[in-house]
Amino acid sequence: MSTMNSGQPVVGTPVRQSLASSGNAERWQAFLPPRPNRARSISCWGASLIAAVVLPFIFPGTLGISVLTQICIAVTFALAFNMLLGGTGMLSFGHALYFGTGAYATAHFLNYFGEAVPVVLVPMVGGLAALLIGAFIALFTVRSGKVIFAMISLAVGQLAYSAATIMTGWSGGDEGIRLDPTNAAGWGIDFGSPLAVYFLVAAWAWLAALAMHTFTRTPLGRLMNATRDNAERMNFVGFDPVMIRGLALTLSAGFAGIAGALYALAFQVVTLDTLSIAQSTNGMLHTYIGGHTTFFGPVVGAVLITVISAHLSTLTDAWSLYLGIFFVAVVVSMRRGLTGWLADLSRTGSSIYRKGGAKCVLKRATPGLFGGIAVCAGFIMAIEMTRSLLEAMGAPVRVSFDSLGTAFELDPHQAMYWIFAALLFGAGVGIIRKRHKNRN
Amino acid sequence: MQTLALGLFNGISYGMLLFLMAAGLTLVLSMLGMLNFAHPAFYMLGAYFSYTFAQLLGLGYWCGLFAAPLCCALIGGLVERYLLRRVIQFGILGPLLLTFGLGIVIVESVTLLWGKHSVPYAVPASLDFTLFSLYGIDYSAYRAFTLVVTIAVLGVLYGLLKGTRIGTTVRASLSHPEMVNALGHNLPRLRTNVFALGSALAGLAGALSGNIIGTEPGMAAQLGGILMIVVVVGGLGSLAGAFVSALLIGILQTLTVSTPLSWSDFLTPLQHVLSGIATNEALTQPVSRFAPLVPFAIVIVVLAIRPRGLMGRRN
Repeated sequence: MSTMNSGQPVVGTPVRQSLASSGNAERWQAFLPPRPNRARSISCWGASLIAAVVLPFIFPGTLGISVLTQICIAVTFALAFNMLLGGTGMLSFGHALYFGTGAYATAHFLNYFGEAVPVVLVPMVGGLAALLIGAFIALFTVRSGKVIFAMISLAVGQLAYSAATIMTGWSGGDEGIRLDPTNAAGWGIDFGSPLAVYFLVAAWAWLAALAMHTFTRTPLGRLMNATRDNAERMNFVGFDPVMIRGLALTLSAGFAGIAGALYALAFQVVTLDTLSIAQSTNGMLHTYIGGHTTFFGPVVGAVLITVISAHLSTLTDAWSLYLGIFFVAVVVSMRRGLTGWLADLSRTGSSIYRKGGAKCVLKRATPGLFGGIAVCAGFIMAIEMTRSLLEAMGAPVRVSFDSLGTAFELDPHQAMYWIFAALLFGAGVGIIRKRHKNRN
Repeated sequence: MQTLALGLFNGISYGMLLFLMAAGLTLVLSMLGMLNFAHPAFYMLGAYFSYTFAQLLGLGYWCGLFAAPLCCALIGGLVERYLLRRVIQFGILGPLLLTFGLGIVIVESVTLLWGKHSVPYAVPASLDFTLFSLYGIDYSAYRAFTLVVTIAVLGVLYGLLKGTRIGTTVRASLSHPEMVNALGHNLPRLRTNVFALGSALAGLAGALSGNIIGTEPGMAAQLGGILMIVVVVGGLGSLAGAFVSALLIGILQTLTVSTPLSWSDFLTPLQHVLSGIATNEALTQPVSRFAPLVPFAIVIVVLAIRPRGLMGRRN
């Protein structure tokens, strides 16, 4: 359901068809995008709301709630990013500008007018500020499509970051701007507790996601899809693609600003990191790894990567290297992201199952699985041993499997372990290549 | 006057460095039809390779200067052959994201291998002297050397493209790729070579300037934004435009860095009218603090007046 791809037939074909068949309402149906399954979508959104309410009680404690809050923020940001990438076909490398604007606007607003306004409505301020900035940026960046927009968005993002480092009075410099949501009118809710803040963030994230999903069904949402697919034809039909791109950037900036405002409320300090290129990169990684061709792909990517990085970044410093390599692998071999890849995989799997039964599926899947695991294991072993040699004076790397109760150590001073890592990597590559040859 | 002269000299050498980078980027852009967002990462890699060969392995500066572009070309060639070629057939989005991701991977690998802090990549002793003094300010011989090398390399490149058979093939495949392919030239290999050449130019720029600007993992991100601006302001795919905009941005930014003026100095003629405003705290700050914003101001003005860039073609 709810693919953002279904926009191609909106322009052109129905008009011609209706002229030929003198307005027969039945025949229109075949050319319109698929009707949303209302019961299914309501149950989906309801389930996600219930999950958001129940999860903090399943994972209590500071870490659990902090990770859940981060997930909500990341999901909002990734969905806003995908409004541009998946929805309009524009790749922005500087989306942190809108995130940071939302965060700083919220912080300053709460510090100046804190007592007068309810906290619950404060994310609107961040969203509006980012919306205005987005509208201004859209004035001169969206005139031409993909490549120039990508370059200028990168440059504008860098501009905002350097401007913020100069204007220390506004950005707070390295220490950042602190804010205190408990000062503001809380409507009887104590926003000093992380749980209450989490519920506020989750509610806003849910509402923003719902708004963005509804937006993909509106005429403007469809026009954005059409601009992505064929801007020249849009122009010919009578819509201005520049205007539509500008509106898309403005709205996407607004939702990114809401994500930034949620960040400010959750962390209670806004630093220059919110404007940095790392923030833009995170949104892009979440969106693309999850899959930018569907509405819910970015959600999957944001949840998955936030959870994994919360766990792995404490284990290894090289986490961002692994994430970068994984991203490159996804770009090269899964163009529709993880969700698209899994959908393809399950389709192939079920067709093989129908032909040859479970044994055949197992036979086809085993080499790929083991090859992949061997490649990853060999590569990670080599990287970790390199890291230990260069940073920890060659201290042995400890590898433990808590669930299996075993642990062993890799000593980077012994050639044996290097050979082992190389053999694992080579064997994995060999298995995968052989599998590819067999298939062709 | 002395700051103006010095700013002009430094600005020209900085601008030529920007053009060396932009030339590689533009060449790849017009040949492969995609923008290499990993270009600044190759620049950083060039500086690190040169440092490694020259100082860690003790082979001397000249060896480093020669080997760094070669290593970058090798990596660039492998990237084009095994990664880019697989995604470029599916549209423009894949290459943009792939090169951006490669940039992240390269920066992270460099952090892993050489550490988070800057490395002491030094100017060679044989070039570490004052070439001439102007108004009492010294101009270092190394800066002049980088300027000479840059101009020489660009001259050779120009001659290669205009005067030789290989250059003719490359130029022909920019405009008529199918015809070049049909005439028996190996177009895929040509594309790989051009990508490797672009990476080598970035590596050379890194090797030349890493010891002046500082060799650290942040140097790629620092230059990345400015490089994109140079290409956009010059006009996408136009070498002459890139030359003009690189010099423009290089000179203006260096002049702003070296100017002793503050904002309030511009307002002194109006002091009687605006009494009080010129002593405002924000206005007494020196203009040079705002030097990093100069390229961005230029790109906004140029895009507002002339969206296709200074010498870009109307599409």
